[in-house]
Amino acid sequence: MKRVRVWDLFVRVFHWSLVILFGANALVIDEESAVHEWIGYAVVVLIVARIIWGLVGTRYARFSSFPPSRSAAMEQMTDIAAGRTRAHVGHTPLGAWMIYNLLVTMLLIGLSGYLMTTDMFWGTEWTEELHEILVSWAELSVVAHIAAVIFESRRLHVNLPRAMVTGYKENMPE
Amino acid sequence: MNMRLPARLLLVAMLALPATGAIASERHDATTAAQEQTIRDTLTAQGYDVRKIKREDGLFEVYAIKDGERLEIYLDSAMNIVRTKRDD
Repeated sequence: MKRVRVWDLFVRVFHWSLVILFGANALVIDEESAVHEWIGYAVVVLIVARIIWGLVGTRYARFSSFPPSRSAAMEQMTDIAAGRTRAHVGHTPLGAWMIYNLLVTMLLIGLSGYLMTTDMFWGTEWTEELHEILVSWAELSVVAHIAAVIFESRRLHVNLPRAMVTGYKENMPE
Repeated sequence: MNMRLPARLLLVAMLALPATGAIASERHDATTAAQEQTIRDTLTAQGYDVRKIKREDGLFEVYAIKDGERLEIYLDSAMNIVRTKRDD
C-alpha cells in the first residue's frame, strides 16, 4: 500500500472553488442579482483556466491522462460488475466522462446566462429555459458525481474526497 | 437485501436524482391572456419593446427594451408602473 501524489494545487483549488461558486449560484444567490451574473462569469473564467491547465499542467491534470474513451469506460464498468478492484491513479475513465460533461455544461450555463443579458435575447423564453434546463442537468450530474465518488472510495478503499483536498491518494496498491 | 453498502448508496442516489430536476425551475403565478394584452398594449403605446410578462411578489414584472436600455418594469394590479430596474 502506498501514498501517491496525484492532484496539484491548481486542480484542487479549481475543484473546490467551482463547488462553492456553482453551489452558491444554483442554491443561494438571488438569480436576478448582479452577484449572480458575476459569479457566473467567474465560473466561466475558472473553466477556461482549467482547460488551459489541462493542456499544459501537471501529469494527472492533463486531459491526455484521462481522454474520453468509451472502451475504457465499458472496461471500468465490467470491472465494477465483476468485483475487480483496479485503482486508477488519476481520473478514472468514467470520472473523465463526468468531468468533460461538467466542463461543457458549466460553459453552456455561462453562455446562456450571458445571452439573457443581451438586447437580442432579453426577456426571451427559450434562453431562460435553456439556462434552467442546463442548471438542472448540472445538479443531477453533481449528485451522480458525489454518489460515484463515495461508491468508488468505498469499493477501492481509497478516500477520494480527501485526496482532492490533500492531493495524495492513500492506500493505493503497489 | 444482499447488496453491499456501496451499491446500496448508489441505488439510493440514483432514485433521488429525479427530484433535483425540480430545483432550478421557477414557479410563476399565471397572468391571464387579457392582463397580458392590456399590459402589452399600454407599454407598447409608451414606446416600450415588450419581451416578457410574468408575476413576481404580487406585481406584474415586464421585461422590455426602451431607448436602448434593457428594463424590468413592475406594475401593480391597476397597471401603474411602480418601479423600473435597468439592466446594466
